[in-house]
Amino acid sequence: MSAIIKIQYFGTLRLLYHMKEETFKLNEPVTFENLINAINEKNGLNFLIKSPHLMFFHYESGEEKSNQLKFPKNKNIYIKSGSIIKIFNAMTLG
Amino acid sequence: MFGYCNKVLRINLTNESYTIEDLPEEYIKKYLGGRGFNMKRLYDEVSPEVDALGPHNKFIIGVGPLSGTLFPGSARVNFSAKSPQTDSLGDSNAGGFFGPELKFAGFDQVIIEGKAKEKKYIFIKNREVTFHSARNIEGKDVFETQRIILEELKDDRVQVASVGPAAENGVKYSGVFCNLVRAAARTGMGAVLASKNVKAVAVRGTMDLKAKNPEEFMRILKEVDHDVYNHYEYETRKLMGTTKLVHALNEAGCLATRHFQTGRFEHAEEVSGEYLAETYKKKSKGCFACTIPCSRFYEIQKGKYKGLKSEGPEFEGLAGFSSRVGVGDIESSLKAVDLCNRYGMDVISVSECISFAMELYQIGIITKEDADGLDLTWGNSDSVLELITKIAYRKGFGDVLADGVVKAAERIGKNSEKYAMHVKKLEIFQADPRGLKGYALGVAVASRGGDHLRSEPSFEFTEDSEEGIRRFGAAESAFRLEYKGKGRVVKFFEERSALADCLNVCKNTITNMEILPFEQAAEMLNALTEYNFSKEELQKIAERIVNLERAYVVRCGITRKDDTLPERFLKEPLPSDCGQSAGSVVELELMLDEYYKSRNWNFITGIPTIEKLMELDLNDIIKDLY
Amino acid sequence: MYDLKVVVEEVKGFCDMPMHVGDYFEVKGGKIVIPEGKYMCIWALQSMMPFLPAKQRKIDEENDWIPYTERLCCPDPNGMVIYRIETIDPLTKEVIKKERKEGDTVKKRMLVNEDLCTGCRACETVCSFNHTGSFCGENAKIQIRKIEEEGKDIPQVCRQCGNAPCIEACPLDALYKNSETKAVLVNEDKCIGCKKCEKACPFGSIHFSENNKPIICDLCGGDPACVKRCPVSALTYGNAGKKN
Repeated sequence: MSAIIKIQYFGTLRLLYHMKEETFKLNEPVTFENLINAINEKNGLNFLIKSPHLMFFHYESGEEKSNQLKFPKNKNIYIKSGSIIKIFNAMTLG
Repeated sequence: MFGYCNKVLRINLTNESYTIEDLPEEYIKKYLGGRGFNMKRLYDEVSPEVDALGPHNKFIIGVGPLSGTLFPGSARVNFSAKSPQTDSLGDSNAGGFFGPELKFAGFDQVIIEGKAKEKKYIFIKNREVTFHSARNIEGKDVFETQRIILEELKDDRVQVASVGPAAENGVKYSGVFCNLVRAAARTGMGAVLASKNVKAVAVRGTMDLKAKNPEEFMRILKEVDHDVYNHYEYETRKLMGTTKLVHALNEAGCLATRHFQTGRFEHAEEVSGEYLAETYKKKSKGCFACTIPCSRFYEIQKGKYKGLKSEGPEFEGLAGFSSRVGVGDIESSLKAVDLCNRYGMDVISVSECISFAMELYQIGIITKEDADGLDLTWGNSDSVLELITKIAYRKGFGDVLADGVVKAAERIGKNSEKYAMHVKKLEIFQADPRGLKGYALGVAVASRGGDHLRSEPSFEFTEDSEEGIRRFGAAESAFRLEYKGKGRVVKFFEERSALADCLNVCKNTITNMEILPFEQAAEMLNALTEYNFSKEELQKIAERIVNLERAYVVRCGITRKDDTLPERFLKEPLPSDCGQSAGSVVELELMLDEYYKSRNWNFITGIPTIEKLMELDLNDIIKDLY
Repeated sequence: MYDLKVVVEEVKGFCDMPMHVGDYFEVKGGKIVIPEGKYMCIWALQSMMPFLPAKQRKIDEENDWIPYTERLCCPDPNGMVIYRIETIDPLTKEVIKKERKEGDTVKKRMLVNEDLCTGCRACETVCSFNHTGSFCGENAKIQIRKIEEEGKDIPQVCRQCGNAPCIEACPLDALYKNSETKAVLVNEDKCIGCKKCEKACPFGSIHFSENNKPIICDLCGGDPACVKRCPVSALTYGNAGKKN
């Protein structure tokens, strides 16, 4: 079974990857770690190693509220099909 | 000159004369530089009874030991005086190139006293001062003023700090502008300069500014460079500066939207920093010697505002004229910021006054007739732009708003004051305090008033429980929606910001990115100057300045009851569409208690205790408070 | 004079002539000779025509890149046919390949990209600090000229021109090149401060000190500090056309 997961990029990643969003189709079950590896493999730049403070907002299918994920802390969390993950930079104000 | 110039310039406008004084050693050892020097000068020479727009106020310019060196972002300068807007401590800070040039001209501080008989601009070059007629620049906007002065002085390396027509018209939140758009915007320092009949201060310097121990200075600088280039924020700062906050705060649910009616803006994408960078940004721009150029130059190629180009904007302007006023058109926001720059006004105060008026219009407290026929419905960008011009020239309804949101509420009456989003008469920023409890506390206690830059407690975004416990004794201190530990967080970051403002370098670098810990700062100063600092002394200096500023505002009448936030943030929960911030209010009192405890200030009055003042060698000001 | 053989080396795009790899024509003395039954694209020919007599000449001058250049591209953006020009000894019929002498590498030069310059002046500051110990960039060997309203930031710094107009303009031979780095150096004893060099420089890179001597970049002896300090690589030190 394939899981369709949408990734939305904000901040630095959006400007480095030159795209706002893309969809990944991965074999279930998909862990957060699987997803991160898939993004890394496709887009390169080894973004996680460069940016350990990225913020991941995980919206499960149909949900209005997100839960926030951390990598690698939440690497084993399952991501279900229909989820949207929004990736932001750290939020230091200015 | 090793780091310090060791000279203070005192200008007497009434007599059109000047004297050069030695910088007192006490200043260096106890107040370090920049904002520290200015606050000490303000405390000693401008009593709280002084009329801020009268001849006895003093316009004080201060730079620090690192200004004009190779330290990244060593660009900054403080302009201070008694504030005509808040009737209390006035101080603002700008980047660009003015600060370094003042160091090369041989001064650590400039004090401008009295009032000129006719409108003038002042030119400082290598420890000499000349006074020039402002007849060619009177009433001109900030951009024109700089252009004409550079032409008259026949030198395009002159740095100009000028005021725009708004200051000349007495708008209380008019600022001082360097390099066209680098705004020392807050607390109305522009109005002070204009009240002295000074349109601009120009400076040019070619003197030698050196390091006492250049090899050691470069060794430490290499360490700093390494920390900067490897910082996780580095790439983001270069690509977006502060403009990333539109989407970031929107997601968090605390982006000021329609005057804080909610924390998410449905048009956030159209006015985001990402969209700005992808569509309008031409290249990056940076301050003096900065290796993290976080600013940008944009151009609008087509449409209604075709041809508009400028450096900027930053988050406060971008969001102030988009989400805060319900406008989903980025180009109109760029135009609004450009107008504020040219007229010389603070974008935060302007955007608050306008969004305040728009909320009153929505509720029905003011009508179209009150607003000179303007339709102030949310999202009406034409009205926003027109109102900016009216404010700058004090025309009609603009005059009602031109003295700040508190005075505007007084004039309008009808219980409108509860809609005025200010603290101690200074309007607050584009983030909703209900989503950022640490910032909420920082804004409530800041010496300038409703100001987030005195503290910048960005630690509360890190969500690192272990660091929270290690550094501030509570895991909650690392979470923006939690309360515990925030008092200590705010104290710490207030002192980091004070350090930055004294050295006079960028707070993004020192406070947010936490570059240059106190220990390394001491090493660097010891390599640069002829003085010797320890990390303990530097922390004490920072704490001393926060306390000195507190003492000044206490003398101006501030007590604990003024360390508060507008009612909406204390009582009304953020709506349900605000993501994780939904339902939040700010429970201020507990954080305030923790803050006072960590500062050793009296819980009831909010006044620094005698014990604390003595600990900080501020014995001589005890008599002013007790 | 050399004879020439102009050969199609590569067809990068699509040529509908078509020209084929291996097609060639020759230049023998004053004659163009196309092999029996073959043809030559007139668009490529007319665009390389001015170059051919230059390649025929047996000249060896300093700063002359013509002997080392062999390739030209046809002007069709969709064709991009690459031609190689071989120089041939008319007596021995040997193909002459001019190689750079041992140690005679193409010197690196200061390269500037105005469109990237942020105007921060870190370059001025580090240059001045390294050379004089002062952070004030007044006498730095690089200056940034700014037109703030336009967002223009223009680094003014020596580019180590091959046939340097400043050296030619100086009436007293006070300017000369460092033989290693090819940076332009100043013999201050000879200089009388006439400022002809400043006027001659096409990059506006010369300015004068208080004691009336020209300030010109010396490349820090081969490791320019400004290049290392620039955070956006508006300044690079290398060869244009190559990745530095």
